[in-house]
Amino acid sequence: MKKEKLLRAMSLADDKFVEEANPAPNIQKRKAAKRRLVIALAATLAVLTSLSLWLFIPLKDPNADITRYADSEYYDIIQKLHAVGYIAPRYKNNFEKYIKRAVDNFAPKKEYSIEDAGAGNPEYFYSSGTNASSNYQEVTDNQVEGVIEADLIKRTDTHIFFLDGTTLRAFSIAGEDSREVGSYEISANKGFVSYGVEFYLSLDGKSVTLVLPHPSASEPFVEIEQVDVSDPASMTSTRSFCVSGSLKSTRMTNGELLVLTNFYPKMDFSRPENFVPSISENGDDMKALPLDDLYVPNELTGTPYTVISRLDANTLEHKDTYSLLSYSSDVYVSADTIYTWRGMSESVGLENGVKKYTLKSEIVGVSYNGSSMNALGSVKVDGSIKDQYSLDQYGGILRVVTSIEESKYQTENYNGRTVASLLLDSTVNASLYCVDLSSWQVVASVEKFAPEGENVRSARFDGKNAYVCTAVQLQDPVFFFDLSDLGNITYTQTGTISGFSTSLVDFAKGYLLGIGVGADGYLKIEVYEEVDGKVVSVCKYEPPYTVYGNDYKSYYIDRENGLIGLGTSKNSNVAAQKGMLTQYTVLHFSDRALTEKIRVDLDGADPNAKRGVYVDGYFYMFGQNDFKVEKLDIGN
Amino acid sequence: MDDSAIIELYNKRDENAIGETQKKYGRYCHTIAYNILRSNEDSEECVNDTYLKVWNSIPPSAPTRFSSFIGKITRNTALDRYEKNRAQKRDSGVELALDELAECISSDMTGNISDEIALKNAINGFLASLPRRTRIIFMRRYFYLLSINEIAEGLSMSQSNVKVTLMRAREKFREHLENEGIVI
Repeated sequence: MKKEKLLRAMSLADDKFVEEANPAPNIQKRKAAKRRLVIALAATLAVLTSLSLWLFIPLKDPNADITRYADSEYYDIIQKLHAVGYIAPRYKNNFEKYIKRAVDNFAPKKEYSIEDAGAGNPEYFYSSGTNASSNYQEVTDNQVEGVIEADLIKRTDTHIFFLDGTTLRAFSIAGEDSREVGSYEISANKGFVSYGVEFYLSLDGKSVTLVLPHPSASEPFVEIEQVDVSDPASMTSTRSFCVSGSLKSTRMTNGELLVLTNFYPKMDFSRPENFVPSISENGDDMKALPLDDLYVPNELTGTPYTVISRLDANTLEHKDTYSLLSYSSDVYVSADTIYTWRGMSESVGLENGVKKYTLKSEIVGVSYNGSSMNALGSVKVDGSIKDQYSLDQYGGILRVVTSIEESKYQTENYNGRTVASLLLDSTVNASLYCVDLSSWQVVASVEKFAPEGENVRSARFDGKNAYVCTAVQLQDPVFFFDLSDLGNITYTQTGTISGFSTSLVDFAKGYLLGIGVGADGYLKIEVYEEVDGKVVSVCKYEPPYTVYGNDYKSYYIDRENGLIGLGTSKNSNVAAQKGMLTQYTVLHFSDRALTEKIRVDLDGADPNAKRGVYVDGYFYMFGQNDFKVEKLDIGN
Repeated sequence: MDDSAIIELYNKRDENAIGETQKKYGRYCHTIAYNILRSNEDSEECVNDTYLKVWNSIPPSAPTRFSSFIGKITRNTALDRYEKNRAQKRDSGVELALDELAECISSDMTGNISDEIALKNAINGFLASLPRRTRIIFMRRYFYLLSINEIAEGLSMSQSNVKVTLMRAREKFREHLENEGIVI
């Protein structure tokens, strides 16, 4: 029994030795280590599984399936937008997305030209408007009488309002005693840029309507803000209206304000405001337009909308909105119809992989004079349209001048897409089309009337006549068309002369004013007339080394007094003066001659942002934080 | 719950003391008992007896190392049960340990254990003289009665290494007891 006693005696060992040898912690440690190992393995497995899933599970595109929106009142629109605008993900899964992309990045780069040409990015082209009454005096050289365009300057009998950047300034009309009597600062936190801000003045001269584009990259919108200017010393904001989209243009006519925007829907149909134009009044939340206000063509070629909002010019009350599911390059507004157009490129396959691309324009007419706006029709013509002055509605006929551009490209296949890779041949010219608005068919045309290689630089219609300037580099002819007999359109031209006109202005009494550049590339203002079937130059003004702005609204045209005003700048190097001289120039056309009446320094680097107006023997000129008045004797 | 709080419960005669002891040391005690008895049923009963003994010991006992205190009670309880069962069945694990310990008993050692205090001092003096690793191996084998394999696994050693270490330790133990004049 000794050994049993000895074994039992081991219980006499000190506690410290017992604890030291306790196998339990060791076992726990091992178990913990084992547990950690299992967890680590499980975690590794989970990570590998997740990575595999992330890499190889097909990328889910929430916009691919739209059936979940079947109950939406906008489902018809959703389907059409989706059919035209939905772009499937380029990669099937993340493996392709990252690995293939990395591989692609190492592939040799190729330069490609057009394809998907046509509908280019929309440009901003602004104007706005309000109603009017007794002492309103028109300053802007509106294209169509009675259809007022927004501008940086408007006036009454007693005051001139000028938009200097984001400051609306009011000046008294008092000759040499004129002064600024008040200003209204458009709040800086509104996020818009000053470019594109314009305004209208009501006929009673008591209200200004500001057009404020907010060109946000994600959700652009246009704000219309009305300002009470009955007391120019204390101008206050009264009401506002907002419409989603990028500003295209505005017009004021018959007590109504037309606001035209391009709205680019997102392929996210979770809320209507993403894909349907929306409006808000007086700071309310933006709300999508009801279905009844949306016009959706049966066949869509693109997803942007042209949105035409019709407001009461006095109250900014929203009266009507017409949304056309088609984007607009620009706008021409006649006395009863809004014409919008968009450019596109159409291609025809030729032999040996050669494709012929032709620029075309689709014009859509929307009537706005009735109780509601309605689409009247559309027509497609060859060529691109330069601006609103290239269109004119006259006696049931829409006349259009276009620049023709046809190109032949060698094409090749790249990643499943046919792309134009090499320009083989190009044709540039100009055409004139006459569209019967009852049938929306081209009923007469003069195609490719310009010398080969020349496109339209400016156009102007005046009743039964059309004036077109085409040019290549610094030589131009000006064409006079007689459209009185569409079955026999005749035209004559100046022949090749130096320079070209960027703006043609009918200057009354049969004269045509061409504002553009001369042979040296500097300002040239020339007056033309038609004599014995030929277009001849009457006179011209070519100040040395002078540049000008190309915004037609910046030209002050006073046909009654024969005055032309515009912002100019003179190159300092040749003038032996430091810095660019920023000026304002006033010409007087009298006795078949152009005379420089005023040329004064006027602050502001942008000639397009300067304005001038003649009132009762004085010429008032406005620049950037600058104001000048000159007494002007024109011999009346 | 920490040991002092458990002991406090025993001192207050709070029956939760047993529950907390079981929660914290139940597995530990079961392992000690099982290493001796090699029966889950017997080990379970042994551990229950241990709790009762601890309940009866505290107070007046006030152990400073509760884990060793309860471990020793478990061990002795298990050995008591083992001896009771021995007549009916022999367990190779304990028997082997006993046989090994027999090597530590000199042929001169006759009669009863001379003096428990002297024996305790001798054992602890011997244990203190051992290198730590050897001491742990020795205690695991003859206090906790772990098998050679269990010791080897626990200390990441080969079984032969453990055996050699134990053999040398037993030889030293025998010499130590002889030098201390311990008579078993």
